[in-house]
Amino acid sequence: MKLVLTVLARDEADVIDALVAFHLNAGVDFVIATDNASRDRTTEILEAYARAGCLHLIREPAEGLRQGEWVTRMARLAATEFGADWVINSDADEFWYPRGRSLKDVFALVPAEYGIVNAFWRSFVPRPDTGEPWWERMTARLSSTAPINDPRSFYRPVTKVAHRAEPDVVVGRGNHDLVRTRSQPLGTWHPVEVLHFPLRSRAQWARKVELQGDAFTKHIDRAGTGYHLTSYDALRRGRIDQQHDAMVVGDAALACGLHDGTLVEDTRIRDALHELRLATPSGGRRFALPSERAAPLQFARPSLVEDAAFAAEASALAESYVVRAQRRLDELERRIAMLEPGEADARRRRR
Amino acid sequence: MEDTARERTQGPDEHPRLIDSMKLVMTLRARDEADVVDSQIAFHLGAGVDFVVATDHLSQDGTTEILEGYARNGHLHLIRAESDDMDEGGWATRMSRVAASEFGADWVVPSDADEFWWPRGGSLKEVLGSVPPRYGVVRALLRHFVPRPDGEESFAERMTVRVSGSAPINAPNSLFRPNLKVIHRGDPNVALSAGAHTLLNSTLAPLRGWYPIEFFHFPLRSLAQAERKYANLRTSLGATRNAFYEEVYRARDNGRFEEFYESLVVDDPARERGVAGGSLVVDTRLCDALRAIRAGEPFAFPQPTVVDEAAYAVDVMALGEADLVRVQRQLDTLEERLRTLESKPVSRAYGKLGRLVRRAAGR
Repeated sequence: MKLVLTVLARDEADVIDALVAFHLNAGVDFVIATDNASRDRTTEILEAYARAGCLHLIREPAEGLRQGEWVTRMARLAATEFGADWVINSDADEFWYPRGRSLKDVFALVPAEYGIVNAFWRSFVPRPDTGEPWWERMTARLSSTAPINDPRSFYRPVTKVAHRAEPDVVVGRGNHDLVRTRSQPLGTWHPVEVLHFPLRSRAQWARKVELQGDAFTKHIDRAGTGYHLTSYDALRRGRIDQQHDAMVVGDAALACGLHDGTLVEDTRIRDALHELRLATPSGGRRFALPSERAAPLQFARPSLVEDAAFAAEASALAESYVVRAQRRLDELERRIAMLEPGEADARRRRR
Repeated sequence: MEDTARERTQGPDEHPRLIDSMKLVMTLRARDEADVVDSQIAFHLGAGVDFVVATDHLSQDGTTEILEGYARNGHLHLIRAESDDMDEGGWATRMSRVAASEFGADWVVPSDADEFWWPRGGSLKEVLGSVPPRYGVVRALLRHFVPRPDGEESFAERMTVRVSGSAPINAPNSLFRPNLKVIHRGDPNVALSAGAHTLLNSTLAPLRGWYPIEFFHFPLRSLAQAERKYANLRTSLGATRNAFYEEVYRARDNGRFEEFYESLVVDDPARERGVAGGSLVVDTRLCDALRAIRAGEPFAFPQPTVVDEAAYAVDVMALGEADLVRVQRQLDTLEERLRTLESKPVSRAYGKLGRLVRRAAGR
């Protein structure tokens, strides 16, 4: 089986090196990356992996963050040019962590009649920016048994999609679903976690908000989600640092969250990166390729207790789906009411 | 491809402009609430409310004079309800309609005098400004503040403990059950239920599962206030409305109201036990805000941390919003209504025409 990961990156130098190395050591065979006009060291890092023969680099100079279009191009290329059996569509701040011995092992377990796996997104909370690398600081993860349904929050329970390779697949914006596919989704089994590190430092957050805000206001034909709008508003009002700091979880809040169970300590990515870190950088890379290691990276099979905790959190996902279904039903009901004769009469009377 | 890039007509400033130009009106029903109504109005005018429409129901304790003071300053429009009967839903409906039709309200907060609406992260206007346009109703989560021993201090100084949302009381005769109230976009045809818990026959869509505003409820603030409140309610409402009022009236009829009231009061030992056991939570947010107002200082609504948000999500779960049975019932109703629409002659003719066109096109 061949497993290919696609990633779209723009100015992600603080995370992209770790991301590519981690996934190559976790069972991914090859990476297809789109570099969208980066101006930090992202391009050089991706070039280093391309030189090592484990990455195909697409340079995309266009503005507008056409994420769906560019990810679709990579997902199709994975099928047509690189012989992928399974494709993971990742963002640069997402670490796909198998609940098994490796990503490849987990995808091999999916019955043949299913072709889409919904991976459970688990967000790590931002911590004070001390100058240390993000993986040393961000070792606390939200562990909520109740869904946060605030449309402005990036802590809403969601899934991201991995799929069997298809030459004409269409991936939806945000990589949450496939717009066109022949594959069937494997509903409620989430054998992969997406460990998500969206907010890593003041500088990184300000740049991300600027790029996404510009794209949504100037190029994309729909409004951004709530946090795009509120963050971009803060940036334009010169309050982005205050907005960032308000989201950072300080030591007191961390202690409170760990005590009441809304946060858990999760050092899996930190520990993996410690293992993969090269003593001296090699050709622009700071982390080892599988071929440079004596033994493969180990992934522990979760214990029964861990599986039970995971199931409890995944139930919050199901509850959030019910709330979303209700929102869609309310909208449908409103549209049907507009077509019903009584409502048409009432509208005429109001006019 | 799905994402075509093109210039949007919306400029980057739309969001702030929206908030700056939004008009937020609070409606207010009051009868003999002099101990709370001044703080209530001052707090909301500081929290983002632009204007107040109030109905004064035969107050005799100084409430009327306080409302008239705000009216003289141009902050409030005063309606006087002269009948002894209480028409809660009718008054709320009239005030919401007046707010929209005469005072240009974009959003309306239908409030009682003992309710304080607390936005989570930003002013009321900022929070409501972030609601996607397709939604017309935001529901607020009720926070019950428990009665505390009488004293010289104001209610806000004494009542700084509330029932924990993660330990909901679902008993039908309890005053402290989990509940919601609505805030809605301005609509001159809107109709509200008694207590403003829901809109009646409205096409405004509710935003489900997200409660960006809490409303703090201080229904019982002292023995004297409680006695007056339930005497007024008995006169105005006649028959009891729920199991709690039934108990109140039974106690009054038997001359045991003081004993009944004292049984609801949370004294210091009970407070300590409740906080330690997790059934009560110390919450000084309103107390702090009213102190700031008295001192002439600004007050803000801090952004909750993710830890706060996760705890709040657990509180919200008690409302049972994620209800699959209700979703299925709603689907059944919609299917029926759609079938009725589809069976109409015009719909059938359109359907037949569509099939003919598809056949002619060779599909």
